[in-house]
Amino acid sequence: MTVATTAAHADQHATRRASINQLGLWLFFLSESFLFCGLASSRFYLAGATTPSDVNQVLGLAITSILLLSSFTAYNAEAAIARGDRATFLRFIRWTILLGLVFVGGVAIEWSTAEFGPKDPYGTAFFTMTGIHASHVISGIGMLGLVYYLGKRGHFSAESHWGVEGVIKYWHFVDVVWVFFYPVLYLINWR
Amino acid sequence: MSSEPGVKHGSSAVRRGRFVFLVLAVLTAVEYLIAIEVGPNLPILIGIAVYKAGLILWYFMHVARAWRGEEESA
Repeated sequence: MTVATTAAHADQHATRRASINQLGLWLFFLSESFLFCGLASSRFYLAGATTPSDVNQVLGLAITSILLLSSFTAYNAEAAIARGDRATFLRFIRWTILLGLVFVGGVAIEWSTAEFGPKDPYGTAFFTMTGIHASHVISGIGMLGLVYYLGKRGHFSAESHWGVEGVIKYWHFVDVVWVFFYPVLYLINWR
Repeated sequence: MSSEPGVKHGSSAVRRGRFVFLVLAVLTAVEYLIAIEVGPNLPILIGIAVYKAGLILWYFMHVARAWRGEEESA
C-alpha cells in the first residue's frame, strides 16, 4: 500500500467518523426531544391551558433572555475556534458558563419564591419541567467547563474542534427546549 | 472537524449571529407583550416558539449540514 493510498484511507475514515459523530448527536437530540415533548404535554394534561396569575413574569423573562444571550456567546465561541482565535474562543466560553450559572441561579430563586407548591397541578408541571431542564443546563455547564479546560491546555484548532462543536450544539439544544418551555410555563393564557 | 463555510469566515459569521440573536430577542419581547395584552394566545405563542426554534436550529446549530459529509461542508 502506497503512502498516498494510506493518506486517502485516513481521510475517508476521518470524513466517515465526522458524519457518524454528527448523526449520533442529532439522534441524541431527537431522543431527548421525546422526553421534553412528553413533559410539555403533561403540563396541559395536569393544569389545562391556562397559566396562574402568580407566576413571576419578570423573572421568567429575565432567565429566558439570559439563556438566549448564552446561546449567542456560545455561537461566538464556536465561530472563534473555527477561525483559530483561541483567546476569543476562551472568553466566550467563560461568558457562556457565567450566563448558564446565572440562569440556574434564576431558576433557584424562582423555586424558592414560587407562590404555588409542587402539589398543585400547575406546580407539579412547573417544578418537574424546570427541574429537568435545569439539570440539562448544569450538565451543559460541566461540559463547557471541560471544553474550557482543554482549550486552555491547547486542545482544539480551526481544523479540529468537534468537541467544541458538539458541546455547543448541546447548549443550543437546551436553549431550543427553553424556547418552548417559556411560553408553555409562563405565557400561555396568563390570567 | 471543520465547520460550515459561514462559521469559517469570521466577521460574516459574527454579523449573522448578532442579527439572529437580535431577531430572537425581539420575538421574545413580542411573546411577553402578547402574554400581557392578548387573551387566548396559545396558537400565536406556539407559532412564535416554532419560528424561534427554527432560527436556532438553522443558524446556530447548522442543522442543514447534519447529514452531509465532511467534504461537502468543508
